[in-house]
Amino acid sequence: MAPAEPGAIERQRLLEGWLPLAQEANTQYGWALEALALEILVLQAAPALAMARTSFEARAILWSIYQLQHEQTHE
Amino acid sequence: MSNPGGGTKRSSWLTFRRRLLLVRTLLRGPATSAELIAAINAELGEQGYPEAATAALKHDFDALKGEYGCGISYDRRTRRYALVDLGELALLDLPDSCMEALAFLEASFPAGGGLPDHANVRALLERVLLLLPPARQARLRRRRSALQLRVGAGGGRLDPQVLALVKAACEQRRELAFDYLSSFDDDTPRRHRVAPYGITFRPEGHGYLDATLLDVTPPGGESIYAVIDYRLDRIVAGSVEVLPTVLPPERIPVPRFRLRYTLVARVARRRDVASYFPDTTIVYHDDGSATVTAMVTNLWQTRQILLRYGDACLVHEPPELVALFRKTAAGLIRLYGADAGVEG
Repeated sequence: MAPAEPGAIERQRLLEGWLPLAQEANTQYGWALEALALEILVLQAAPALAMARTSFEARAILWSIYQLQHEQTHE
Repeated sequence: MSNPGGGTKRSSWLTFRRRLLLVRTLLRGPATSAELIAAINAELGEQGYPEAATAALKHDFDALKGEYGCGISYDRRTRRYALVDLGELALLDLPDSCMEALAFLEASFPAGGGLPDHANVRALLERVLLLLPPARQARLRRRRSALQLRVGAGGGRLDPQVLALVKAACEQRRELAFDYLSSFDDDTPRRHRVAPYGITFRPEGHGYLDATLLDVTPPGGESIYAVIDYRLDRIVAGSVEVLPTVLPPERIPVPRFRLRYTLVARVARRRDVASYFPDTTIVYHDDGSATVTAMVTNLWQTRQILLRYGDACLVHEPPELVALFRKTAAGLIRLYGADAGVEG
């Protein structure tokens, strides 16, 4: 049996934990991101999210990563 | 010899300050001479120990023993110094009301096993006692507190590594996995992966991990995202793993259930029914009974609380809780038999 892709389980667990908060931010800030885009946002923000001490901080991190992504796609 | 700038006075003050710092450092716990010198120098910088630091340190120890009556012991095996008696530097004294509070804590958290050790209550008490002058210490040790909490007496032994890892996972907000033998498992523990949020010691002495279930292998009756109180002494020693996944600062949203139950007139007629759950609303009826509604997340805990009412409480919803009560009732019938005579 082939071993599981390294990081796949970890990725799934990360999304499991952070997607509800990301979805909340998605609604609150009117981003209208679809599921896949939201997952990419969470994965990109993950290292910084791990340091967030409050939900407010976590939302601010998601917001800044979203802004970065948004700028990159419009360059 | 003093100089016109007051050098001796300044030097005496610095020496005194250094010795006080030494005592303060030792109050944190036993330390090697290198650790003590480093701690003093970190605080005092250039005014810390001179080059011949070890000799100066010994000189300070002699002064603390000779001038202030401090007791400082040395452990040859660990090469650490420990403060065993503060002598004249036992500067903490307290009003009688606070001494009474200390005696209360002493009586409530006796040495040896259970909660006091896990929560480091004994270590704190011993430190505070050390700071009291000898006469006050002796008075406190003689004093018998009329009041005391009964906490921790019934708790089993907790594996220190289990407790340390569970604490670390809660503090670092990381997922936790462990093998757990619940009341419903036969002999084989199952692997639980959870989001841990805190540890609670209940009055009977058992410690519980408050966690949200993320995964369990093999699956059992638990639902994913259920809030579960895991008894710490049922977590299998050596199986605990703090996982790399960091959890969000706020608890993972958990299913909330609307709770509705009726209390019969026997317990509700005085109209002083307790509110055990969030968002509780109580409606008293003319026949003396009461209907209680509330919102709950932990059905297991809810059942435990409502079982206190015995047969004076009828749960109407949620259906999951009604099912839990049916299971309990069936178990009780198995134990006592359905045809037992009714007394009273």
